[in-house]
Amino acid sequence: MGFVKIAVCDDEIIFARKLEKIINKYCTVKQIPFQIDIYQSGKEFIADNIKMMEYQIVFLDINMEEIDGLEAARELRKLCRDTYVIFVTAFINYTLEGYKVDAIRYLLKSDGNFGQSVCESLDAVFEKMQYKPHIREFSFQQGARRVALEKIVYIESSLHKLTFYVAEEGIVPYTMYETLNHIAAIFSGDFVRIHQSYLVNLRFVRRIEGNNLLLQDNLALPVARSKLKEVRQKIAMYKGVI
Amino acid sequence: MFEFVQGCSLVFLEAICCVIFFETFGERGRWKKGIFASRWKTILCLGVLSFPSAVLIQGDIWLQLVSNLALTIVIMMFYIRGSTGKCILLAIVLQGLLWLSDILALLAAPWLAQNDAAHSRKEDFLIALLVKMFLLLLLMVMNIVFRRRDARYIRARDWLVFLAVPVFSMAVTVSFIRNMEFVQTTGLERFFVEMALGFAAMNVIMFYFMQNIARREHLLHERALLDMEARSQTQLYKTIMEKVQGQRKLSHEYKNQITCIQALCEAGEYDKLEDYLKQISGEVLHDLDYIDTNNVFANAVLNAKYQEAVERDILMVCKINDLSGLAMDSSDLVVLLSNLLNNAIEACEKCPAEPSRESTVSVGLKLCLRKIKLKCVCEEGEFILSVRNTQNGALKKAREKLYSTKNDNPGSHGIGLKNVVQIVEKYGGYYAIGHTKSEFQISIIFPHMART
Repeated sequence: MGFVKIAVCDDEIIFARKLEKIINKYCTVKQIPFQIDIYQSGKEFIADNIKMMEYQIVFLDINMEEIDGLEAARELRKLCRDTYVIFVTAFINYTLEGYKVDAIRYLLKSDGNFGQSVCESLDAVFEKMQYKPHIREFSFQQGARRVALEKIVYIESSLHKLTFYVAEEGIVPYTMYETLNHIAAIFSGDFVRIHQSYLVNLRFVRRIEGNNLLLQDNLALPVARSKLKEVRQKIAMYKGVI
Repeated sequence: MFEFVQGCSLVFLEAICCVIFFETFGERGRWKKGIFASRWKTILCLGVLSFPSAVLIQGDIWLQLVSNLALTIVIMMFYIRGSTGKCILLAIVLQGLLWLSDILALLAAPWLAQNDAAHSRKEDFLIALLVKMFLLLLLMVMNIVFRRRDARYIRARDWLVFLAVPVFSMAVTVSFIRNMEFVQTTGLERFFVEMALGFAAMNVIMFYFMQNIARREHLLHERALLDMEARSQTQLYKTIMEKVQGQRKLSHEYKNQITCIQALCEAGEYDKLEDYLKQISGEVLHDLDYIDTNNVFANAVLNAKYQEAVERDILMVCKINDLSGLAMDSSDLVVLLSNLLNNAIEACEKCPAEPSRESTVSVGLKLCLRKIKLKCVCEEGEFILSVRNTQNGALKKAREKLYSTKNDNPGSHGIGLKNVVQIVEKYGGYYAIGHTKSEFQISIIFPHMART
């Protein structure tokens, strides 16, 4: 793993130092090269747009004067979606718009397990960082193409022909002569066979409505009666992951 | 006289077979009161009423068959809840089984009583009794197998031990029959017959005894469920009460604090004032809820369980959002959350805590063995609830043994989960359970659960 840039933004300097110490120890033990910058207010943090975007991980205190952690996170999100935001707060509150700014964790300051919580959140972040898209080459009728499996919304089979619906700019269909049973093994646990002729990526599933599976962009596909139970279980498992 | 008793006992044995058979395939209790509400009265009735036909139309097998069938059908229609067609069908099948047993008796007779010269009537009776006992055994097994639902609280091994009794008594009867030829005195002959009858009666009594045990086990199980629910309700009530009282105390103290601050201000002792403020702000913070979902009931449970987890050295990671629009009965929500989190905490506790703990940092860096991840969010009208916790593989196995024989059965994860599954089904939700040796996850989705 490359060099990780981490920002800690907290107006209580003692607390920021404590956090820094924990992160320091974590990264040393895990042998991750890192750099930590400490900001003492939200204002200071968002002052430099370009610098702000360089951080991969940001610990934000929610209760800060003038510009609080949420405000700062929103500013950050306007520019960049990939930064991992971890909120540090006195208490976890629903009103936090934090859910919208897609924070990976909330940490409770007063928690006796604070050190562990920080490490757990860093574990979660690094797990996500190390994640690489599964890219495979398929020879479509439209020509050979490298496709990330994560971008395939679903695959439809009809008459020995497969149509891959891939999320690119809009959903683009690619076709090839093959059968679903033949290639199903390539697709990992994130895919579910909902029907004789459909293999769907759970990532794009919104919900089950009666016997239909609703996907993003209001797509609806029929679920085979015999597969309904299995499909529901897989969706439940997938959505339950934190 | 003795022969009359023999005849009676055979008839009643048949009646008992009949009742067991009908109970296997039908629900008893069409009548709440009267003769047919009681099993033994029904058996008596069947037995007594079949006498006239047996005496009057001796000889004509077909007429006897028809009268027997009619009697069975009429009485069972009073006894069993179910359509007439079902009663007729069951009666015909039973009659067929009785016939088969008679044929079996005829076939077995030469093999059992080898010296056909001195073929006594007592021997014939014993053979008939033996075959009836065999039929009884068959029907008992059918009852146990087809009514698995009633019998599930008694383990298969116990049932096997129980089934040894009829097999044993049949073996004894066989040896009686084979030794009959050497018996010279009528007294001993009668003794043999009485013994065999005693065994047959014992079989029947044992069977109903086992059924009673099964029923009692079932009631005990139900009670355990109810107790659990009541406990979680009381717990919730307590936490809410504590919160209210805490709040009351707080607002009372607030007044005192203001007075104190005022006094310090007036005296100009600003250093002391600063100390004092620091002190009370810590207190106030301590009394606050850590997790707020905008739903009083969810808050009460989540915060109580969060505290519990922290006290037990368990790391709890939560993902929550606004649950104010949740269209679920508050008591169900409480049972759901508290059961899931109780199970998780209990499982985590069985995991070893960290070996050493010089500082928070070093603790954090060790592999955290006690961890609960909770997701409790409303998204697109769906309520998603998921709990993932570490567990000790060894414990899991012990539990499965205790609660269930099947792996897929929710009962295998403790009684609490059964309550959860009931609630999930009540709201038309669905769930998935996954576990490895060191982790357990349950994930539930309730569709159409959020008010907009």
